Amino acid sequence: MAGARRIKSFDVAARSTFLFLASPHTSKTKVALLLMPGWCSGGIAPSPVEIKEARSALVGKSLNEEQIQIVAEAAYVKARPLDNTDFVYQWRKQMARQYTLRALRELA
Amino acid sequence: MADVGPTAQFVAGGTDLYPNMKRRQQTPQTVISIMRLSELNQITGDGSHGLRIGASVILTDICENEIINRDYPVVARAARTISTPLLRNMGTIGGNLLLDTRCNYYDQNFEWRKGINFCLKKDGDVCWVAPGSSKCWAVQSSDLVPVMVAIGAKLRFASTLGERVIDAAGLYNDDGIDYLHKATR
Repeated sequence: MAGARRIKSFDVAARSTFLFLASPHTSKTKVALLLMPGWCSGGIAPSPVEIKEARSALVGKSLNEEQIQIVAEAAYVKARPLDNTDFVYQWRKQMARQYTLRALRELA
Repeated sequence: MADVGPTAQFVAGGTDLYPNMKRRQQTPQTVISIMRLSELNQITGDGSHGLRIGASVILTDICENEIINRDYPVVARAARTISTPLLRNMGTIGGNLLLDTRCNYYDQNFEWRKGINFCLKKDGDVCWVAPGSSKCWAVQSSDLVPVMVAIGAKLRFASTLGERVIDAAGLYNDDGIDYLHKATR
């Protein structure tokens, strides 16, 4: 468990937080994606959704806008929420891309 | 636990279990607290040698711990996103990592759920989110789970049968009912 780790989190509504983690400086980079509820909203899937495409897009490369767009697109594709939380699923899917973009831009 | 068997459940902070019990989503006959087990209430080690966090360490302590903030800021930052200070003062990291999955058709009181003849996750046979599905789609809702998966944390489980250590990623199953691989596979 060595290497730099940085995290971005964003409050998106009263008690909802999107959590995005990227550790681009380690060989074990994973990007975990989860739209977080405070109590009964949010959520993408029954388990954490790993964006495996982020590994090839991030490891060993500089974090430029092109790489960021690739990861954000991958996050958008992977996020397939259903209509079972307080936030509508179409919005949550859109947010997967937006929050990924914002998080990685801050890391860059 | 050995005396009462499967009708018992362990509890730490109770911020997940007790509301669920009120809604009769979980109905243990006996609740056993682990909060007085000092071995589970400690944070030891550091970033150089690896950090160990006991299951009953409360989330506020995770947020404020100097070593965690220095060596694993990602963990502290994620913990700070959890709920409110009041609940972080009660809730534990163990409870957060084993959090029940959430769904609008499940996180309702008993009468509400009875009104729709319950759902697949509890007492019913239909997933109202995806009625044609044989799978429960209740969602993972822990703020710490994606972090632990992403940084490659390891989780240690102990019982009378022994101990085992698994990667955090290996604990979570993509099923809203059977969402944890707690038993040895």
